[in-house]
Order: sequence, then structure tokens, then C-alpha cells
Amino acid sequence: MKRKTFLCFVATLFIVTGTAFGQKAGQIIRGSVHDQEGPMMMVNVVEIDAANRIVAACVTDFNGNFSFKLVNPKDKIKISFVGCQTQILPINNTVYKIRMTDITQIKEVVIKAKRRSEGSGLSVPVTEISTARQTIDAKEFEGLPVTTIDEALQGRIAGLDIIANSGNLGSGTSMRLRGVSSINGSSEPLIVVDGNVWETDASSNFDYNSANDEKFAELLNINPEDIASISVLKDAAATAIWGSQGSNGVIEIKTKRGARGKTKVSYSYRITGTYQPNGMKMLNGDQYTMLLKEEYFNPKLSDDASNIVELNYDPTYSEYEMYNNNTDWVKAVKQTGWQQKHNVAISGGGEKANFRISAGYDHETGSIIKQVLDRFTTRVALDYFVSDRIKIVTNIAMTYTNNKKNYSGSLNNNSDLLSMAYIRMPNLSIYEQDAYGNNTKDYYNMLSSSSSELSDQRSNVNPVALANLAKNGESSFNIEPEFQLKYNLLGLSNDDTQLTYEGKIVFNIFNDYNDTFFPASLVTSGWSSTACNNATSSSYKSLGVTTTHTLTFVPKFKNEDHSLSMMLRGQMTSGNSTTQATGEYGLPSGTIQSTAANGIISSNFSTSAGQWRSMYFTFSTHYAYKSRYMLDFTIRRDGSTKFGPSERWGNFPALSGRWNISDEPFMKKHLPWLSMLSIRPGWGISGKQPDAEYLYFSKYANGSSYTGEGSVYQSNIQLKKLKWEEKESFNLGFDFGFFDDLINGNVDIYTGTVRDLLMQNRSIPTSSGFSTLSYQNVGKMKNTGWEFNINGNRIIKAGKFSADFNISFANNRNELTEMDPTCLASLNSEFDRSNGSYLTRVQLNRSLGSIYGFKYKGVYQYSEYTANQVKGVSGPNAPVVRDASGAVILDEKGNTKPMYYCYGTSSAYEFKGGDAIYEDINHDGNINELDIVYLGSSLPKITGGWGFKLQWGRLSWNNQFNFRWGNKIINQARMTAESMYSNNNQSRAVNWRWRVEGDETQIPRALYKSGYNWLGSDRFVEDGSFIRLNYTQFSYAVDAKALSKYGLSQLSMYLSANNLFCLTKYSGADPEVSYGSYGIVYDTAKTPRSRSFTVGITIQF
Amino acid sequence: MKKISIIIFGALTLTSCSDFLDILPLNDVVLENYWTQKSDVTSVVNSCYQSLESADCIQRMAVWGEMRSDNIIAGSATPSAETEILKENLLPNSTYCQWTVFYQTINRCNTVCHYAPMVQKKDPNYTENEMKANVAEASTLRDLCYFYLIRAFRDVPYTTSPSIDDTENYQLPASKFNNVLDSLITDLESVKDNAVKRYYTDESEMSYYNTSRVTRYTIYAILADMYLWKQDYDNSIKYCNLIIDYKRQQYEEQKAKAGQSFDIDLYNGYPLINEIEDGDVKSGHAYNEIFGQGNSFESIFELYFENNQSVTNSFISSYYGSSSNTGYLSAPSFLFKDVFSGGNSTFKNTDCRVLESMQSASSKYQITKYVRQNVSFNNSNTSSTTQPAVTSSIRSTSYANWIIYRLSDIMLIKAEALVEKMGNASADSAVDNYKNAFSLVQAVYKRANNITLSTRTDTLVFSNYGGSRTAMENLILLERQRELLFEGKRWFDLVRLARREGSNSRLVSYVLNKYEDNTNAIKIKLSAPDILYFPYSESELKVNPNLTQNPGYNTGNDQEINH
Repeated sequence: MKRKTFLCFVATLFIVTGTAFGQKAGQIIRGSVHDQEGPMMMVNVVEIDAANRIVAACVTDFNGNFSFKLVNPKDKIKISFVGCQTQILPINNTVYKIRMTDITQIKEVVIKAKRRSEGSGLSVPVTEISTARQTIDAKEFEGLPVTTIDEALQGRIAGLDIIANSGNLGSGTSMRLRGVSSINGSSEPLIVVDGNVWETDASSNFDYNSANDEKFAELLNINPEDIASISVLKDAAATAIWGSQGSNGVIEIKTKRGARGKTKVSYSYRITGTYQPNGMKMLNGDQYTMLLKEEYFNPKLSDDASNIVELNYDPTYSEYEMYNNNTDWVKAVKQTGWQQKHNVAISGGGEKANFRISAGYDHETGSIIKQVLDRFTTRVALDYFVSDRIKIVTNIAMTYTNNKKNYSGSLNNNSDLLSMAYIRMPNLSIYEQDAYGNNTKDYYNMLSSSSSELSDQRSNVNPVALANLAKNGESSFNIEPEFQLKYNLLGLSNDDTQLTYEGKIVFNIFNDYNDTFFPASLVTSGWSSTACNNATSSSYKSLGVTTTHTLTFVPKFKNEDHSLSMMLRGQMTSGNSTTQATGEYGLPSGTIQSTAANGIISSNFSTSAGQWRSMYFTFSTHYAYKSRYMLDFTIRRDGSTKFGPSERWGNFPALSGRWNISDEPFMKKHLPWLSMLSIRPGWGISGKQPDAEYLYFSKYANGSSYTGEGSVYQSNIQLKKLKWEEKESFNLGFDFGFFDDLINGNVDIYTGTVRDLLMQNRSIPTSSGFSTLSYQNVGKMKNTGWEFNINGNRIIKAGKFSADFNISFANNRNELTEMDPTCLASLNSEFDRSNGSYLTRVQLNRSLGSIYGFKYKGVYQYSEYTANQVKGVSGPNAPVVRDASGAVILDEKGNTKPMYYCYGTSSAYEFKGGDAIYEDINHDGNINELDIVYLGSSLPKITGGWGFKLQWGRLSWNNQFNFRWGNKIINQARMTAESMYSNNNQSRAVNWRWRVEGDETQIPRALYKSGYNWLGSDRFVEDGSFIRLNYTQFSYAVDAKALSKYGLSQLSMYLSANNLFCLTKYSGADPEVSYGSYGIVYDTAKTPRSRSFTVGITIQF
Repeated sequence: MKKISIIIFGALTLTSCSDFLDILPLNDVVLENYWTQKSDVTSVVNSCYQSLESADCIQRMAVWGEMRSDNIIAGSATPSAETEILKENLLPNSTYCQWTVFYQTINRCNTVCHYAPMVQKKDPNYTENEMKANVAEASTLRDLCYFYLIRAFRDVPYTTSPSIDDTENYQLPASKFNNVLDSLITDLESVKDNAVKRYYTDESEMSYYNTSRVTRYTIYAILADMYLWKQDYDNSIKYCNLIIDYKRQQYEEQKAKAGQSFDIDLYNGYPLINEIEDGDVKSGHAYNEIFGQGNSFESIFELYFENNQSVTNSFISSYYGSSSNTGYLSAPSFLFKDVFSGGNSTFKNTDCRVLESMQSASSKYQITKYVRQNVSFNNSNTSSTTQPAVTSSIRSTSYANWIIYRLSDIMLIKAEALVEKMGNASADSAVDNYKNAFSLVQAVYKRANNITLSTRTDTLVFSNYGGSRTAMENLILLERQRELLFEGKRWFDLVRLARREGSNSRLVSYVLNKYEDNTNAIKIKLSAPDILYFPYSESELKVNPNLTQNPGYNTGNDQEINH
């Protein structure tokens, strides 16, 4: 040691003496580098300027010598080598002799820093955050069998309600953060990846409320392995920097980046097996034919009506063999699905650059036959430090998805395979059978000559054949290159006043292609049918460019108690999209499936183009005094192309504060175990803009011609009055932490009022020549609620054993407080008196999602009334009018009065024995719209989840549950499976149906296309509460010491199960059903969430 | 310094942003760039026609005008909306209570009337006369739409200003039938002399313009009809005469040019296309000209469907029938049954209109008017009691023009006006008018029955009808029914009758002809005067609080008509 110091001293002396000579640009600087063992080869010698930018460079040769041409005598010379301490010397000599020292000899330096929030706004220490946000580190779901991040988030974030759209591959989820905030627009939160918003042409291609959820899922195609952390911004103060984009809440995703150090390569592989939970048990062929015979007989009481050859088991019938089976169609379309996932990531970095490159490949087969999804994701993150002042950041992400789905289109009534299987006649065979009942290789489709009564079954295609013969491929490319420049205008370290500029440009390229083919072999109606060899092809392309400029200013105060930071940001986005669709039918052969082939008859061709632009400015400031009293203020000014010049700009301010009570000296003194207690009040206004462009123009469109001359017409009413929807919200949050944050959590109470609620397609009097305004500001809606979230980190620690837990739950109440009465009236449809429909009502001072219908009271046992039961003939439980006390009302002649349905209308019907009993609320002897009552709400009272993690050494067991409580679901699947009204197959429950006078049962009689046995009633409204074990996982990491022998740094394995059980009273396959219009939930037997088991391995070296 | 740079940064970006945020639609033109030249006006005028000939519109013209009358019963696969109307079960949620398409046309016409004068100031090539003609054209189409609306709904919201932006109040109350009718007449009177008289000469390839676009004669025809509803018979007759005189003049011109082989004959001095062409024994010629080809000599205004464009008259194919399907609607049996055995009270066996308009098929009487491209049969043998063989061909695609006014309609309007003009005067004092009216009816009848043939004797004799006003009225009504069968006229004729009489009883007795059962219920239903009109659509009432439902459809509330 002493000797080294001495040598250093000598070297310094040598350099100092050299100052005497004046140096000039262009002069050759020479020297040699050596350590205690002699000359060093390949040492970096560079000339750096005042900003540490390299202006000249060279490396030492075999003898440790170097030379370079000097650029500027004011610069410095920097000598560096791996494993050695870097030296920086002033240029005051032409010849240098440098001695390098070992880096391990440097004394350990303790750096104290506070954990800072990782968001898109100001970087603020976590304990100074004054807004409602919750962050999850990606480590928490590493190795989980999730394909998208939304699955991983389920039940983790208080107030974020996530519901899977369906169990089909790649179908995504729908999310509601702090309740529904829109009448008929999107309520999905904003997704931000590394500060970049996914902005697309929402108007024409994204209908969030209906079938197109899958598109939304495409947007979330980011590989979970690439995610570093996810933050959910909940209140207006938190989302303020996102202004009008963030009114439904914001989910900020931060991806992983490279770090300085040795290059690491990690590889993970996992395999998952999935299967479908059991849904309804359906009738077999024998039970079905029996039911159908009854169903046709009952309304007309005629054997002729029920004489249908397909149901008769008549061996002389030419198709007899095809109609005498017991096919389990549901079983025929289910299978065990497999998912394989490979992921490779290489990361590392040096002095000048950090990098991380990752690539993932996914291959999945569905739990329904013939669904295959391939996904390739790659992400390249590169940080290049030009100098201490300048940093260049590049990210390039690409996702390619190829999803081979089951065919679903107008030709099979847009239904999915499973729902087709549920309704198909079970006496029908899958394959054509020969005279002895043996299957041939051909799929069987009902002949067009089959009985006309069964025509609906005929138009339903054989689902197994459909899966195997038809095609529906969707592939999408999403490429997102990003280039960023960071420039420190002032101050290089935290001790100086800093001013930083950051410029960014992001391109977003999204292409989506969809090709379908429906072969002629699935139809028996002949070659002129449009269903014959029908091929369609469509494509969607979009390109978005966003530029952002950010200035951050952090002044340094002499008094260290004050801290202030400010940010000013401006952003401009511009994008355009085009779609094209072509279709053809009557292609000459089923083997040619492309629209490029000339069909006999070509049909629909359409294109559309979209364009969007936006611009905003945000100013945000954070002030803290002693890190105890915090104040934040943000204002955003949003400009939108969607409004006319007068309403174009919206201002969205937010103000929030925080008081860390626990940091007060008296608290620290008296309650040392209380590591955190703070109170966070916040207020803010956020906004929302409509989903469509060009609203403030009066547009003239081309119409078809008259007498050969073209026409042009005014196509809309110009919206001059339309303005921003504004959501004003208050949030009061409390953070707490005990025992040095061993247990920590937060509680938030909020209320949000949406003003000038935007409504799409607002009906107006058609005497104006138009039936709707594309948008109008129509009313007010309020969401209030609270959230609770608690985490425990190693709350129990005993030797090798430790335990963690997390709990979160939330409540939300939605209420419509103001709306134009004509608007309300037009939203509320009249009772249509038909079976199966529920009244949807949007009412003032009520929440959305309310369900209205009749009260179901069982089944009339007898047709004839007698006070005492005469077995098999008559009894008291018969359709007669009763008063409020339940006493039978008699007319003047002493006769009972019959119960009617909608008496005096064209749907009038007299109830008979075996018909459903509906409660006659007003006791007028007539079941009609006046007997409809409120049956519950589809919005849950409480949502949330909890999880715990137990660790014993290197073995850990991780569990996560999620739940919803207090929501009602309309079980439409069960309704259609118990209606006994059509030819569709029914569930086994109908074996308990009323058959003869005197039967006591809850299931009414079978009536083909008549009667009112399945009116919208509480019979099919079920409690949708559930608790689900979202996942459970065992993982084991091999001892790192043992691995180092093999050059490995990490080897871990895991075994996990997803959706292992779900505790619920709900009778359908899965209580997780996504929202329909006005927040009402209908379960239409979409493919439920599958169950799965996963084995995985991660290796790093 | 820092602050200054921030301000500069902000200011620099702000200056360019209002431009940046102005984006224009890619597929449409915006108002700011429209209405600058003549073609902008004519294109929107075309869109008025195009809206008028949409399936929704023609459907309503036909359903409102005829479906509730004795001419129509259910055909095959009749949808529920139509079935309910045929059962006289008119519900406010019926699709036929929706008038959107008419107001769409009205609004387009209003736009033309609003902007055309401004265009004329901008475009030097657009003369004032052209502008006025365009305004006349648009006004006429608008007034025609309103005329349909008041006949179907009685009182309707009335506006002549275009719907441009959302600052306007669109919740208009209904204006009374008479007020609307008066406004329409005033409007048409003011523009009638601005309209084009004739677009092309009769020999021109483009001569179909003369009857498929608004001309002065279209306006005269609408006015004649409106005055008839207004019970201003002198004016009605005045406008009928203008048309009849013009047609006569046109006939003279054409005859002079055509020479011998000419297919228009004078019946009682009125030029009509004959049923039997010279030297032929086959009838059906008038049908082929008027309905088969369209834009015939007799036409005054009809909606044009080209053979070479994608717009088809789908109303005809789905409601009346096509080569592949029988229509939703069919004719009641009393119109066809026993015609050839001589037992039919509506038609004689010599009447060509029977076989042209209907055919018997599988226990129903299919409507064939408009459906067929051409038809031909020989009914010269008057003593035969068997139906003559019919050769016909059905259009492969439905390109039938939809006729709104034609000469025989105008002749019968004039006849009605002549009779009604005399009011309750005695038959003796009214004899001149009755004779004139009879001559008009007879002309139409003669053509249809080929009474010019030497073998035929006229079965229509004045003495049978001239004795009373009711007999004359009945004769005219019957002739209108026979002549304008399935042209969307009959129910309006009956409503006009009921309005004139202040009683529905004659209307009911006619309508009951088609019902075989449940006649009592229909009779009761149709007794209230309000019930002759359609109810306002439920969805319209919901969004327009200033509109009050027709009292006839207020449940449990039988208010009297009061206006």
C-alpha cells in the first residue's frame, strides 16, 4: 500500500512538472501504461472534453505504449481498463507514464438515496408521493403462468376490477378502475408503456363495449418477462399529467433495461396445460328427442305437430343413422390445451452503453379444439452515454402475433364453438354414418331437405366440422421504435441546480390482417348460397408518431429542508390508419381459400381511412419541506382535433398534498414502531374527449346517383356546442407502515363527479332529418368509493422461514345524478313483452347496471283450481287471480278468474298448469309491465384479492386469490338451456320439467315457440360473487454457489396452477363475465377461463 | 433567463398548434369548402331524389297510402310490422310510425333552398334562373314529403330551415294539418313558375328527365291534389286543366311527327295510351308502356330506377314479389274472384287492369303491377267466361319506376273536384259538372276495357250515376281504385272521403270488404276519426317532449278530434 501511494505521488509529480510546457491542438500526445507486473495492453486512453465527451481515443499496444493527436489542450486525458481504477489527468505534457492500480483496493463507499417513483412525471421519493398510486414490482409475478400483464394484475390493485373477456386464446380482459365512468363510451384505463401512450384511431376500429375486445388485448401484447414495474394511477392528481387521456385511470408500465456490469444471459422455458372447467350438463340424444316431442305436442295438443321424422327413430328414414345418436357435442369441442413459452434475455453494459435484448416465443393451443396462437415478442433497449451531459436512449419493441381462431362470423351467427356445441341436437352424429351406424370420414351436416321445423338447427353449422374445415386467421405486427435524447443543460450531480432537457420521438406501427374461409362442405343449401366457399380478407394499418419535449428543473437550495422540482412538457401526436376488406363467395374449390382467386360472385369491398392528432402541455411541480410536508401542483392543457376552435383547448389542474405525520419528531419519539403514517388529500379535474374525429364539421358525403347524376348530401349535424367531459375528483389517502415498513399499506377514499357526460349517438327528434347527434354532453355521473391495500414483507422470519402477504379490496358506488329527460327516455326501451328480455333502465340517482324483471314463483301445479287438492286433477296451486292476502278472487257468479299475461294486447296469454308463476305485484290478475321490479345490480359491491408467500430457504410457495362480491349476473346461458322453447339442446335440469297435472316442480313445461315460461325474471338472475385461487406456485432456486462450478449464476424451477378453484354459488361455468351495455352483465356461455398447470425453468449465466 | 427560455419555448410551439389541430375528413367535403359552385347545388338536389327513392321511403309511401285500404291483404312471409297494420293494430313502436326518411329528404331540400342563393352570388356561371329552378325543384320535393306526412299523421312538425348544427332546437311541436297544407300550397304557388317546363324534347334519349324530375307539371299535379284535400275545387280543376291541356298538346305534337302507327288514342278527347296496339289483338300495351318501361307519355312524376346502377326498387320485389319470391302483400279475393264468370262487382271481364295487376296463385292473389316487365293477353272475346291465357315476364331485378302522378290520376282528381265543387246542389243543377266528370271517368274506363274496339259496347252509362252526388262519388272512387290499384293511393282516397264527410262510416264499409273475420272489432277500431292517421313513433315522442301523441292512440282515452 505504501509503495503504491508513493508511486502515485511520483506520477503526479511528473505530471505537475509537465505543466510548464504549453500544449497545442494537433500535437501528438504519447505515453505508456503499466501496472506492478509490467506494461498493459489494450488500455483505453481517451481525450475527454468538459462534458466528458470523448473527442479522441486510442488503446495501448503490446508494450503498453499509446499516442494520439490532441484536439483541445483544455481537455483531459482519461485512462481506463477493466478491473483498474480510472484515472483522469489534465493535459499538460506530451509524454505520459501511467501506473494503473487495482480497483479492489478502493474503499467501500456508502451511498444514501431514497427510493424514487418510476413514472412518467417528476421523479419523486416514494415517501413524498401525494397522489393515489399503487406500484407492483415485476419480481412479484416472475414465473407466473400469465400471458399478459392484465392477468397478473388481477386482484392485486385495489379498485382495479379486471374481468377476462373469454377463455379463448388472446381474447384479453376488460378493466374498470374506480367504476364505470361512461354511458356508452370506453371505460378502459389508459395504458402507458415507458411513457408512451398507445394511441390509435379509436373511432372506426375500437368499439370497446362490444365484440372487439380482442383488439384491445392486442395492445397489451407486451411480454410480461420484459416488465420491470407496473404502477396504477388512480386519482385525478396522479393522472393529471395525462390530462384528457387519463380520466379512466392510467396503468404505467416500465420495462427492464440493461445495467452496467457483466453480460448476463437468461433463458426461461415453461409449459402449461390448460383445460375447461365443467359447465352445464346437457341432455343426451334420447332425453332430447323425448323433450322435443313434448315441446311440439304441448302447445297444440296434437300428435301431428310432434311428428318430426328426425325425432322418430324410424329405421326406414334414409338419414336414420345420423339421427339416432347420443353425441356429447361439448365434449367433442373441448380438449387439453398446451402453452409453451421460451424467453431469452441478454443484458449488460459498460461505461459508454447499457443494453438489454430480449426475445420471447409463445406457442399455445386452446382448450377448445383448433385454436392455435403463436406470438413472437422482442424488445431491444439501448442506453448510450455520449458524455456526462448527453445520453441517448433507444428502444425497439416488436410483437408478432398469429392467432388461428375458430371461425366466427355472420355465416355461423357469430357464435363461438362452445355455444354452438351447447345448442346442437345431441341425437345428431358428428360424422356421416353408413347403414350399419359406423362413422365415415365425412362430417355430417343436416340436409336442406330436413324437416322445416328444424331449420334453425340446420343453419347452425356442425361445430366440429367448422373447427376443422373453416379458417379464421388473424395476424398482427406491432413495431414501436423510440429514440430519446437527454441533455443536462445545467448541473451534473444532485448537489447542483439541475436543468435537463429530454427529447423523444416514438413511432408506432401496427398492422393487423384477418383472413377467413368458410367452405362449401359446411352448407347443404347449394352453390348459389353466399355461405359457399366464402372467403374474406381484411387488413388494418396504422402509423402514429409522437414527439415529446420535457424540461425538468430542480433548483438546489442552500437550506436543505426545501426541495423543489418542476417539469414542463409538450407533446404532439399525429397518426393515420387505413383499413381494407374484401370478400368473395362461390370460390370454385374448397382448397383455394384466398380472396385472390376469382370467385364466381364477388361481394363486399370496403375501405376506410382515419387520422388523428393531439397536442398537450403539462406543467408539474413538487415541493417538499423537510420531506414531511409536500405539495404538488400539475396543470395540463390539452388540445384536441375533435372539438371546434372554440372548445378545442381544455385545462386540467390538480392539486395534492401530503403530511408525513410519522416523521414528526414527537411521533418518532413516542411511536418508534410506526415507520409511516401520512395523510394525502388530493383534488383534480381530468377530461375526456369523444372517440370520433371531424365532429365539429358539417360534412358532405357522396350518395348514390339519380338519373345517372351523382349526389352529395349533408351527412351529419355539426357539433358546435360539444365540449370536454370533465371529471372532478377528490381523494383522501392514508399511508401507514409499521416496524420499519414490515407491514405497510394505504387506504383511499374518493369521490369523482363526471360533468358534461359525453354520450355517443344521442337520439334527437327525427323531424330534424337526422336520428342522432354523434355526441352530446348529457349529464352527470358520480362514483364514490374506498380502497384498502396492505402488504407485509417478511412479517414472520424464523431461521430459513419467512412469510409475506398482500391484501387489497375496494368498493365503488356509481350513480347517475343528472341527465336530460329526453336522453334518459331514449336510453330506456319499452317492455317488448317477449320471452328472455330484461328491461334495462338508466335512472337518475341509480347506478348503471341495474337489472329489472319479474319475480319468479315456481310452476303452476294444476290448470284447474280447487281449494283442496284432487290428486292429478286440480288443486290450489293453479293460475287464478288472488288478492294481496293471497285469497282467491271470485267473480259475481262465484267463479275464479284466470291469470293472464298482458291481457288486452296482441301477446295476451292465459296461464295453464305447468306454466311459470310470476308474482302479480299489483294483484290485478294480469302479469304485465307493471309487475316488473328491480332485481339487483351487475356492479359488484366489493372487489379485491389477497395473496401470501411462504419461503423456506430457497423454496417458496406463492398464492394469489381474487374475489368479487355482491354483483348479479343474468345467466342467459342457463336461460336458453332451460327455456324449452326452441330446438336447441337443453340442460339436464329440464328433466325435472312439469309433464302432467299435479307435478310439483320448479321447471315449467315444454312449449315450442309459445307461452311465456322464460320471461326475464329473477329465476335467471344469479349472484355472481366468487373467490378464485388465481394462482398457486411452488418455486425453487438452486444454490448459487453450487452453480458457479458450471458457469451458471441462477437456476430456478417452478410449478404452478392457475384458476385451480373458484368458490361461487353461480351456476354457470365461470362467474367472471364482462360488462355489456349500460353495465349489465349477460353470461352468454362464452368460453370460460380455463384451468391450467405450469412447469417452468429459468437459467441465467 | 431560464424563465424567459421556457416562455419562448411555449410560445414557439403554441403559435403553430391551431393549424396542427385542424384536420379535415379524408372521405368527405366540409361545409366550409362546399356550396361554391353550381354543381354543388345540383348534387344535393340529386340527393333529395335519391333519398326519396330509398326503399324506406317508397315502402312508406305505399304502406301509408294503401295498406290499410281494402286493396291489400297479407301475402307470404309477411313480417310482423306489416301484419299488425293489416290487423288494424297500429302500435307506436311500429317501424311504419317512423318518418325519418321523409324528414331526411325535407332537410336536404331545405339545405338546397338555404344555400343555393348564396352559391348563385359566388358562381358567375350559375344564373339566377337556374338557381330559382333548383330551389323550385327542392321546394317541390319537400312539399311532396310534407304532403305525404300530413296525410299519414295529420299534424306534423313543420320547418323549412335546414338542420345544420347542434345549437338549434329540434324539438318542434306538430303543426295542424290545415296550417301545414296552406303553407305547402303557398310555397308551391310561389315557386311554380320558376320550375323547368321541360328538360329535353320528347325525342331525346334523355326525355325521361321530363317525368323523373320536377317540372312545372309536377308542381301542378301536386297542387291539384293538395287543393282537392283543401276542398278548394276551383283551383284543383285549374291545375288539372293545365296538365290535361299540356298532355293534349304533347299528343298533337307527337302524332304529327309519328304519323300512322301511333299508340296514343283520344278517349272522349283525352289522350291515353291504348291497350291494344294497332293491328294487334293482344292487350297489355298500356301496362307495358306505363309500368313496364316507365316514363311513359302519361307519366307526370315518377321515381326513376336505372338499369345500369345499383339502386333497385326493392320495395316492389319484397312486398309485391319478384321472379324468386311472392311478396309480403297480396290482393284480397273480392278484387279478382269471379271476374271471368261475371260475378265480380269491381271489374268486368273485359277490364285489362285485372290481369295486369294481379294473378291467381296458390289460393292467393299475387300483386303483379310493377313486378312484371311486360304482359300480354287476348280478351277480345267478351262472352268467354274463362280467364284468357297470360304471357308475361317478370323483371329479373327490380328496376320498376315508382309512379307518383300520372295523367289518369289527374283526370280522376279533376272528376272528383268537379263533383265535389257542386256540393249539395241538386243533381239537376249539377248536371254539367257531373257530365264532365263522367266523361273523364269514362275515358279512363274505356281505355282499360278496350271500348274503342268495334265489338265492345260501353257498359258505363251516365244515367246510372248522374242522378246523385253519392253515385258519382262512388263511381269516381271505384274507378280510382281500379286504375290506381297498388299505387299507394287508395287509403288516402278513403281518408279524404272521411274528412270531407266528417264521418268514417263509408270508409269503414269499404275497408271491411277485405276482412273475412273479426269485422266487428275492425269496425269499432276504425270508428274514431283520429284512428285514420298513424300514431307518432314511440322513439320520437321520447326525444321530443313538445310532440303530443295522436289522442286516438292514448290508451284508455277517447278524445274527440278537434281542429
